[in-house]
Amino acid sequence: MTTSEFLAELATVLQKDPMEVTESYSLKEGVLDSMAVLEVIALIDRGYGVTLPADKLSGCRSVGEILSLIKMGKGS
Amino acid sequence: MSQKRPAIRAIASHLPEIAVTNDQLAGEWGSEWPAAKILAKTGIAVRYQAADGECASDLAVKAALKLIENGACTAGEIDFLLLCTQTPDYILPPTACLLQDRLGLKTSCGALDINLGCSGFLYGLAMAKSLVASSTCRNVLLITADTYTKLVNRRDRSVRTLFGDGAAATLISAVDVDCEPIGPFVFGTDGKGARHLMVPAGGMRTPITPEAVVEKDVEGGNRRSASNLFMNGAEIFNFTLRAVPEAVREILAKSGMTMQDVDYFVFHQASKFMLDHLRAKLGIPENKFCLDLENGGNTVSTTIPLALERAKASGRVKVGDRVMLVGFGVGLSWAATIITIT
Repeated sequence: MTTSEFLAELATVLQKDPMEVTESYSLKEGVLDSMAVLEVIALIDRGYGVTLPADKLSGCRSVGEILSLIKMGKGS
Repeated sequence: MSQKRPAIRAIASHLPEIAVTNDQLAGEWGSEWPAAKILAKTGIAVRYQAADGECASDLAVKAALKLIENGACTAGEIDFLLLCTQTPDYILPPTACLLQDRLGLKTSCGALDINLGCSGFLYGLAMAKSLVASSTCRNVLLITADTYTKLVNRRDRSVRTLFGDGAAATLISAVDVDCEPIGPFVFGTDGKGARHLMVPAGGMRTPITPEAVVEKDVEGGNRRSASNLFMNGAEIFNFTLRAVPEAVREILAKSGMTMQDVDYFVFHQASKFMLDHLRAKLGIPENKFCLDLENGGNTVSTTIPLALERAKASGRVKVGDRVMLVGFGVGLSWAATIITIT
């Protein structure tokens, strides 16, 4: 999955405008609720074959941080 | 060569009468959780709730009597009772002993409780198979029965949408067949993840005290006390992503089969979201994959026998079909096997 495909699918999960969801998009408190965390875990597993711990994902403050976690997960 | 081998001879289930619909839940929780969204995410239209004073044993009796009335066997022919429950009537005695009396089973019948959740049917089936294969017993009655709704806080949406009460009675005994109807098993346990799905208070470690029943606001706008069921849905999802595909690979290897050799897949019916993802990840065609949550929801250790009973009744599985069963959940615990419908 390319980064732009990931961002487009992430926008759908977060129910946001795809133009808005870029690497610098801020994940303010409440954006990643428990259902969204589940859906993002599923999206990353599907797109990259990486399983990310929920607490690490919930701790991300921006979309860029999620992408870094995916990169680290792929390397391990 | 035809010989006597352990098989699932019959299944009968019972769900309690009180229906909890998505409209009802949406009405209680407000516009953030409309009924359509609950159905889309969970795949559940209605879950059933045991009445006040109605215990897992009461559901178990109804399921077992149905099995006996259907003519699968007489009460006197059962020589071992395995009850899988996490909501027993009492801390002691074992609920299985109470059921021996209520079902009119002979006093020479063995009976014990198994404390497992969503993997429990598979563990019970493995034990029943061994008891019959070793000629220790002729007829083993395996009952799964739980009333999780008594542990769920009404204002905890993370679990109330999913869990329902129910029971299933399964008879395992020897039949004359050419192949092994209940195949090999794989098991798995990871106690490190126990904290992700638990009822913290009520055992000896943390007894019920006034503090243990104080409800608190928790994540996601939910409420619960230490004596309520807690589930970290994301961690449980991660666990299934690790454990289930591996268990599927292992059971295929152990059985000498490929995915194409399996006619139907019955996984623990956890939630539609989880099952859809697992199905896609494993590349299982939709028509070979059981999704049977709409009427009853996640009934813990009962989902697999209930789904099998319904699949057989509706013709989705037929005699001779090879069906993969995978259970996973609280413990953390998981197991898999492949059965042939007889």
